[in-house]
Amino acid sequence: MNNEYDDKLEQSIRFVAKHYKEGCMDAEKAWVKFASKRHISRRVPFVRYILRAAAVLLLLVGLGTFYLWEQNLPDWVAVSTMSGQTKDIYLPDSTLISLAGDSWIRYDVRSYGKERRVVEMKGKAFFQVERNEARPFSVETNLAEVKVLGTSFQVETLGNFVEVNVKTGKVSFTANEGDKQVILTAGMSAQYSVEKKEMTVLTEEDTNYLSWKTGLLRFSDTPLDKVIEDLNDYYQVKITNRVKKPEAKLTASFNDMPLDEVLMVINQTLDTHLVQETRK
Amino acid sequence: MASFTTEEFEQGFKSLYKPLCLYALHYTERIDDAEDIVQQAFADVWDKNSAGALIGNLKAYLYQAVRNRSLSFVSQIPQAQTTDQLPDMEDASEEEQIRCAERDARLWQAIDKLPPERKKIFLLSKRDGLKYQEIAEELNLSIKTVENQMSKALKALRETVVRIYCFIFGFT
Repeated sequence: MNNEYDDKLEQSIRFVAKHYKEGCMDAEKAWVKFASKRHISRRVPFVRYILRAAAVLLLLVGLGTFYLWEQNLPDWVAVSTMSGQTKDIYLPDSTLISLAGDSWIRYDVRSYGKERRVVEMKGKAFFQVERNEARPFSVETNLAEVKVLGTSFQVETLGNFVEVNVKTGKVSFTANEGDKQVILTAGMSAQYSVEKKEMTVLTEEDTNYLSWKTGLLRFSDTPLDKVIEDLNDYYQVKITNRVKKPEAKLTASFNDMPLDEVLMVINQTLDTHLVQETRK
Repeated sequence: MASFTTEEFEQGFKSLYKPLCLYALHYTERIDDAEDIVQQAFADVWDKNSAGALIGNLKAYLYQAVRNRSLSFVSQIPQAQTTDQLPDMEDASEEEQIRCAERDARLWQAIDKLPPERKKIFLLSKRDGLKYQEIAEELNLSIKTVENQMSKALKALRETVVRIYCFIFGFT
């Protein structure tokens, strides 16, 4: 039986091999020939046709959705500074951000400038915003939002406070919670406290809010407590006053001078005893 | 009322075409003639079907039609060279003949699927009757390679056939 089977197989193989011709006896080709002679059109059943169309459509919709979804994913650019470091960052619309030490900003390259210009931040930063009324510029912090058209101003977040100082132009300063809002113009400052849930417009002009950037400290009839505060802020130190003189006021200007020289000048002028606390 | 739809006919055409051709080839000994005969047989069925005639068993009908056409084709050739090969086929039962044609179709397909070089070696040996030594010289190969390729080719062919047999016995 096995031999007979092998014999027949061998015979078949020999027969087929003998006549084998590449590309002949192709059922598909033969059908095309047959069908074209007889005008048999290949009618795909309607249901199958619909299914095929649906599959293609689904695929396209899927790809389209993915594309749109992928396009809308934010593409963040983040810049941060270490303590004592400052950085200047130009945004795509040539708005300039000067970042003070220990601060952080980020913006989404994909959406920035499309309809709005949004920058998120923490710490302290000075903004010189390129004017564009069609695309409002806004700074978002965890507590409040600052919206402008084109001005220069500074935003600082300090734990439970946000402070805004306006140098030129007009800005709108809004708390994230509640409806506290103020409009500030050139030279004005305002502070929002999350504890009091209050927006306070500061009447006294702060001459030194930009000293971290300019290197210039100016005092004009300034109370000593405020002088110490500004020095602490600028030199990132803690200064104590060993001689209590609540009435003392200082008028002076320091251009990026070493701290011990500044203290010496003040102590000699006001007959005080300011010292830098040594760090433990 | 026709016996089958266009789709059914197309399906039947595609699955039966090759075995029918090989069946006819046993008579005609020429591929072109075999293909012509099969095309004509299908055309006949198509026309009958369109005219509303009922054809019960398309497969059996087609094998019968191809056989009749092949025989009349052969008888028209003056130098009827093929008669010495007919008895072999004619002895077998109809069923046996169909199975043989189907097996041949499978073998043909298996040869189609061989990698180009293996196919070349296989055809030089089985079709052109060259010895392994001659093939090796012709293709600039070692005789070992030729043997190796041949055994792989034959193994592939046997396997396709075995698979058909399993298939047939599994379902009948």
